[in-house]
Order: sequence, then structure tokens, then C-alpha cells
Amino acid sequence: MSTDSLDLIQGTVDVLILRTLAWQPMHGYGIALFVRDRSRGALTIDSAALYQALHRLERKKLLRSSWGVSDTNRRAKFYELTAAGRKQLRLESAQLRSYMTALQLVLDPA
Amino acid sequence: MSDSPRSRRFLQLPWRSRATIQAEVDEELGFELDMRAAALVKQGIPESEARRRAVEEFGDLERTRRYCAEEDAVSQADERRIEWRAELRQDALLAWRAMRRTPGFAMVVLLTLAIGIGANTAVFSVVSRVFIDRLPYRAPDRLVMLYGATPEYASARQLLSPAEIDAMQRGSRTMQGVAAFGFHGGYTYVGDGAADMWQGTGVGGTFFKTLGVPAMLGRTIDDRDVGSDAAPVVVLSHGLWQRSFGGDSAILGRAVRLNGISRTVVGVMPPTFVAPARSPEIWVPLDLTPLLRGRMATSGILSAVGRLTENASLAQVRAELGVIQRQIAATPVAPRDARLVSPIPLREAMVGQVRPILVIVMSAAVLVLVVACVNIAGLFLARATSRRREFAVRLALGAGRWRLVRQLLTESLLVGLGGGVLGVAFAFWAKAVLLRLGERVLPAMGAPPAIDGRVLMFALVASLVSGLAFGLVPALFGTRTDLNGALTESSRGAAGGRVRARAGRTLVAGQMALAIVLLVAAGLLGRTLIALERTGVGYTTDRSVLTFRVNLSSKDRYPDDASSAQFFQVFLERLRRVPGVQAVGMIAVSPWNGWGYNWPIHIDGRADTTSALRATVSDGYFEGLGIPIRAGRDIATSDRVGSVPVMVISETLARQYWPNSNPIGARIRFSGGADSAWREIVGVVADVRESPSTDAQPVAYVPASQSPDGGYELVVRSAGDANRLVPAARRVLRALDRTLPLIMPRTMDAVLGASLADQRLPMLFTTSFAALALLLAALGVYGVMAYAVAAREREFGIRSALGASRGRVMVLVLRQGMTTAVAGVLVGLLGAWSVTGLLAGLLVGVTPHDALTFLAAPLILLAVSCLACLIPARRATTVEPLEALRQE
Repeated sequence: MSTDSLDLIQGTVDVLILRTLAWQPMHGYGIALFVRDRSRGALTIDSAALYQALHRLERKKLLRSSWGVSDTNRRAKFYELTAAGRKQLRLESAQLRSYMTALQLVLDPA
Repeated sequence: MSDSPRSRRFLQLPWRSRATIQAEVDEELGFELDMRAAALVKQGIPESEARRRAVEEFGDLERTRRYCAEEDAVSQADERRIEWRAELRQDALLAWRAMRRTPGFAMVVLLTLAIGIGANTAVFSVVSRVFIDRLPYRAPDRLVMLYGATPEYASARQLLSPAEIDAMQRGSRTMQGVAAFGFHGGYTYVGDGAADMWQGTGVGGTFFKTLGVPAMLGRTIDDRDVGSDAAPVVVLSHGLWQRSFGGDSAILGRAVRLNGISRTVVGVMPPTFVAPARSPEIWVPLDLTPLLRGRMATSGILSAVGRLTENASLAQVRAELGVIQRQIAATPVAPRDARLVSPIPLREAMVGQVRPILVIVMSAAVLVLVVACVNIAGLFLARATSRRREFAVRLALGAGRWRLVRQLLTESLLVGLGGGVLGVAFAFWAKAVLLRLGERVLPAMGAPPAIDGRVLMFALVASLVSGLAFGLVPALFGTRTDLNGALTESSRGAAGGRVRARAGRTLVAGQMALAIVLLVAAGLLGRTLIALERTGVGYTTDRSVLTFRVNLSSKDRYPDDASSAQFFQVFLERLRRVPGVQAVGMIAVSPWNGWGYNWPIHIDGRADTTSALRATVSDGYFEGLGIPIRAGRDIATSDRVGSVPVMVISETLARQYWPNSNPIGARIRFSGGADSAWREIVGVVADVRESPSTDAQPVAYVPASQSPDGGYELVVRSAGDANRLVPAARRVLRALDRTLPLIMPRTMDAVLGASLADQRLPMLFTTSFAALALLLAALGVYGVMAYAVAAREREFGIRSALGASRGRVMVLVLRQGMTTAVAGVLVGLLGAWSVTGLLAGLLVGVTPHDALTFLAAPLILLAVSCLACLIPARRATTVEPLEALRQE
């Protein structure tokens, strides 16, 4: 992990994956790129953690996977959100938001 | 995104193996690494270096590989489970619809199965209680029943004398407790208004301690209740307490009047308690001391139970009892040559005799279930045959054969479960019947057998095993379909049809074979019963004779022979005057209570010593029991102390020593006892047996007036039902001595019923099971033949059209059916021949390979099969040639 990026708190990886896939179905490498670009390089997901999270989320039926063809014309495994995954994303992002709001209240008292 | 799990299943893609899952994970991770390496190369890093950095940056690659594969495997297992459940639901729905379409078929199958499973469940509930359940005592494995036996009758279970029990109580080091019990009898209770009769047992002070069972309420009888100055007490059984006192917990300390004596209730036993041997409603203290001083010190009148010490073995107890017994035998009062006391483990003593009976009943029940399963398998097979177009269509649409097999198995398992549910309902009824029939044979073992969790588990397993058993063959054969043939054929049989028909005939033959085994077993037991009824026991066994016992145990009232002889003489005379009484007599120990003992005898003029049963009887005994006098005279009132000592001998004894001459006038002497005078033989009477299945023994009868005993069993013959004489007999006894109880009054049919019950129970069950098997076998033949005729209808039509006579067509069908039946019968006879040896212990007057039975059973079965074939055969002759041809 590069030194200038932020350490990700356990659990936030999941919500980042879900959010990314809400955009469109993607393979693992694509998800990592997407998160890095969107956070302007501040967030990078450790690959080992990313793939473990993907398979765990699939087991929990929040994701669904299938083999497809990548932009570079290679066979790659694509993930998409299930209905349960969408619901979970709403739940977790709401939680994360209220957590951040609370954090902000403490860090920057008005 | 085409192959999501659902679409994967739709496309019938196979489930992925563990290796495939890992390979897919590796491919996915490989893509990631490749992409990263490519990105690094683009930044100008050399290819090999880029590859190394990509792997390094990835993190723990090895752990991720394993983690992802593990998660995927779990996902797949979840999916398989979900799909499995969905398919099961689908199968169950299909099965339900299939059954709904053929309600008649479903009904026959369910009923057949219910009877088979129900019978087995009921028998199991009894068997498990008798053989598996722990006896309701502390450390029951250390308990033994103590019986008297003689070398000639080592397995005899004779009662013990007070002297023997006393000697064991004093002398045994291998048993920590020896407890006496006995004097079972009716106790008349007069409560508020109504009188009642309770069955009671006298128990020694160590009885409950030896068994190790505490009272539920209050206390049990112990040493303080036994002794000349002890207050009279009584302990109630739980059942009586509930029934007669409404479970009133204030019962303790209450006084109840029993046979004229006021006794204080000191305890109530728990509901699970049953006494060994006989389980009464009340227990009262039994004091050995007066008995030891009394007239019956050396008479076998009591039972005893002992508890082995921690480390004593049965062999040690047996050895020790031998020593103790020799000491008693050396005393002048006990001329019991070579009598033994043998210890028998309590469970063996309680259930040993019913084991072979229950084994037979259980085997018969299992056989019926097997026949039922075979029968149902045949029905399912026939149905599978008629459904083969349905199967072919499903196969053509892509269902695997395994899927069809599974569907059929689901169907049969569901039917099995349905039959099981009905079977359990049937078992409630069957168990009640079994218990009622087995009342006299089955030992009381705590609460009566219940349909409990264990029994239900048995029923469930039986249902599933049955379902699998009758489902497997039809499922495998029925789905073996030649697709093209089945879809295009009309009614002409394809090759698969012939295989199935052969399987069907094999099943019917198997049923025949099993039915033969049951029929033969039932026949042998039936012949035994007939033989027993014909042989009989040698005396009247109906309700016209009443028997009961009277013991003069008090040495104060009856100090010598003269006083007891006087008492019984008056008692007999007064009984004879009761209206309705035709004859009255008595015997010291009756044949149905195991006779007395074998005594050595000397015959005047012969050097050798032999032995005979010594029975003390009064005048009127032979008349009372209807035992014919073969020669000479009966014992008479003129035979008294002071007149010539006489005896009457049994035919067997007469035959043994006077095969060609008249024994009347010859003399016999008992040796080794107090009664050793020469006695003149004045009469010969017919033989009498202990039970119908035992051989007649030589008996020497001596007049009670010349050799009095302290207690007798009376026989009272009446014109009608002798049970009506009980109140009168009790009044007569009470008028003579208020303290004496009338012990165990019952008519002879109840006595003999108990000894015949041993054979009657297995007989009844094997017969009804055999009848059931016969019915099922007939149904099986009918089913298979009816199907065969239906399938060949066209052929019969053509035959008729070509001029075959009706008779010819009928013979054709009958021959096909009977070939199957004969094959089954032959196999069955072979099987029966090899297993009937197991019945040998129960058979009397008939060998396990009885020719008549082995001839009759196949004839019955063949006759029934022939009848079953006739209906389809007649149908075959009525086929209209034109109709049959037009059907195509």
C-alpha cells in the first residue's frame, strides 16, 4: 500500500465495493481503479482484502458473479449487485454518513 | 452475465468440483495480477520486475486464494441445498398429484403399509419395554430370584420353605440381603359403605431394602413392622391409592380394615414400582419367625429375592447355596434329598420365559411388513409401467434418469411416511390387543408399554426403510425406458416391458415364499394348540371347579396334626353342605402350582429305590377335579390315623413297576422323612400333568387324614359357574376361623388359561399375520395377472378370432399365474424347512418338520392363488376379438 494513501477502516471496503458496483458491473481490478480515481488517489484498496471481500459478499448473496470479457479482450470475472446488495448499500452508506457527521461534530465544533 | 446460478441450473451445467472452483479463483486473481503488471510496464518498469512487484503489492496471495475458494465452495453448497429443497418440494407435489389421481391405489397401499408398520410398532413397544428397559430397582443387575429345583427338574422354579430362606438370611456371605415374600391373596377392604377386594402380598422386613426402592409417600415396610409386637401396617400401590383414595395425600396414618384386621397405612409406592413375579395392590408385613416355629417350616410356600454383594458372582452364590442347603438337609425336619436352591438373575426370572414367544411374534410381524413392502413394490412397479409415457416425456425434455428415480423414491418415501402415521394410529389399538392377549404371559415391568419417543422413532425408521424398500425396485426398473419405443409404441410391449413383467413376477413369487413361511409357522403352532387341548392336563379345566388355598399358619390355634386335621375335616364337611356344591376335596400342593417334591420310595419286595411325587390329598379330591379312578378305590373317610396306611398311585407309576400285573395290594414306603410307614396301594388314578406340555410324572397320593399338612388347596365342583361359590366359601371359612384368609380364589379355566397362554399368544399372532400375508399374496398375484391380461388383451382377441376355445385361453392365463405361484411356494417351503427349528421349544405333539403342515400350507396358498388368477383369466376369455383389434 502506498504511503500517501489513507488506511481503510475494516468494513468500509465492503461499502466501497457495493457503491462501485451500483454504478455498473465490474471486475475486481476495475473496482480498485474506480475507487482510486474517484477518491483522487486518496483511497486504495489492498488487493488481497478486495478479493476476499468480493467472495465473501457473493457468499452472502449481496453480489452475483459471472464470467465476461474485459476491455482488453480477456476473460474476467464480473460482479454485479443483487437486490439484497442494493439494500445493504443503502443501509451501510446511511450508517457511514451518520458516523461521519458525528465525527465531524466532535472534530470541528461549530 | 449469462451464467448466473439460476441460468447455470437452467442450462443443466454440472456443479463445480473443488478443483474447478480453485481454478476459477486462480484465473480471476491471475487477471488482476496481469492487469497490475501491465500497468507497471506502462510506467516503464521491466516486464519481470513488474510481475514481481504486482505479486508483492497484492498482499497475502496464498491466503486469498484459499479464502476465496472456501467462500465459493460454501456459496455453491448453499445453492445446492436451496435447489435440493425446491426439487424435493416439486417431487412431493408430483407425488401428491399422482396419488390424488389414483385414490384407490393410494388407499390400498396406505392401509397395507399401516397394518405392517402398526403391527411392528406395537410389538416393538412391548419388546423394548420387556427386554431393554431397566428394571425399576436400584442396581437391578445385582438382584436374583431364588427358586427351589431338583436334579431331575433343574429348570423347575419351586417355592422355598421358610427354613431355607432363614438359612440363607443367616448364612449367606455372597448376598447382602435375602428377602421373603409370598402369601399372595385377596384382602377384603370395607371402607365407607362399599366393600372392595385388593390383591396383596406379604413381604419380609428386608424386601423393599433389598430391591432398593423407597416409598413415594411415607415409608416402606421394614424390620420394625415384623415381629410379634409390631403394629399391623400396610403399604399401598400407586394405582390403588389413586383409584380407591383419589390420590389423597392425607392417607398416611389412616387405618384401613383388611380381612377384619385394622392396619395403618404407612406408605404409598411410586407409580413405576412393580414387585418381581406378581405385582399386587398392597403389601403387608410377613414375619418368618412364627412360620419357622409353625407346621409349614419346611414346606415350599414362599418366594425370595436376593441382592448380590459388590463383588460376588452368580457362580459363587450358587456354590454357597449348595453348602447352606446341605446344612438344612442334615436337619431331621427336612427330608429334601438333593433339593437345590438356584439363583436366577432377576430379569431372566421375569422375562426369560416370554423371550422365545416375543421373538416369534416379532419375527412374524417383521415378515408381514416385508410381505407388505414386496406387495407394494409390485403395485408401484405396475403403476410405473403404466406411467412410462409420462417418464419418457420427461426424459425427452431433459430430466436425468436419476432425477426420475429420485422423484419416484420421494413418492414412495412419502407414501411410507403416510403409512407410518396411519400405522402409529393402528399401533395404539394393536398394542392394547397385544397386552390383553399377553396379560398372562407378559411380565409386569413398571408402567405399561407406551407409544413413546423411542417407539415413534422406531416407527419413523420402519416407515422410511419400508418406503425405500418398496420404492427402489420400481424406481430402477420403471425408469429404464427405451425413449423412442415408449413414445411411439401403442399397447404392444417393448423390451423394457418384459423386464418389468419379470421383476413383477419375481416380487409375487417372493411374497408367496414369505407367506408360506408364515403359514407353516402358524400351522405348527395351531397343531400344537390342538394337541395340547386334546392331551389336556387330566382334570377339569372349566369354570365348574373353584380352587383356593387355606393356610393354618398359627401354631397357637393349631398346635398339632390332630387339630389341623380336625379343622380341615370340618371345613370340607361344611363346604359340601353349601347349595350347588357337588364335590369338595383338597391337595397340599396342586399340580398347577408345581406339585410337591420328588421323594425316594421303596417298593415292598424290590431292592431298588426309586422316586415319585408325593401328594397329600383328601377324599373327594379326585371327584372334585374329575380325575377318573382306573382301578381299586378312591381315598375314603374311613382312611384315618390308626387305620391301615394307604395310598393311591398314578397310572404312570403303576405302569412303571407293575406293567403286567395289578398293583392293588402292593406296598410302598417313603424313605428319609417322618412318614416312612409301609402303605398299601388301594387304587390307581388317571395321570395328571403340571401343564399340557409336560410329561406325566409318577405320583403317589397319600390321604390327608393320615399325613396332615398345615395348608391345602381346595377344589370345589359346582353345577354351574363356580365363581358364584366364592362368597359362600368365604362365609364358611370365616365361621370356622375369622383370622384365616381365602387365598387366591379362581376357577380352573383361569388356572389353565395361564398355562396355555404360552402357546396361544404366538399362535394367535402368527395365524393372524399368516392370514394377512396370504391376503397380500393373493392381492399380489391378482394384480400381476390382471395387468398381464390387460397387456395381452389384443393377443387373446386374436387367439379367439383364430378359433381358440375359451378353456384354452383360460388355461393359458392360469398356467402363467400358477407357474409364478409354484416357484414362490417351492422357495418358501425350503425357507420354512430351515427356520421352523426355531419354533421347536414351543411345539408339543408335532415336529418342526410336520408333514401335514408342510403339505397343507402350499395347498392353501396355491388354492388362494388359483382363485386370484381366475378373475383375470375369465376376463381374458371375454375379450371380443373385434374390439381388441379395433383398439389399436
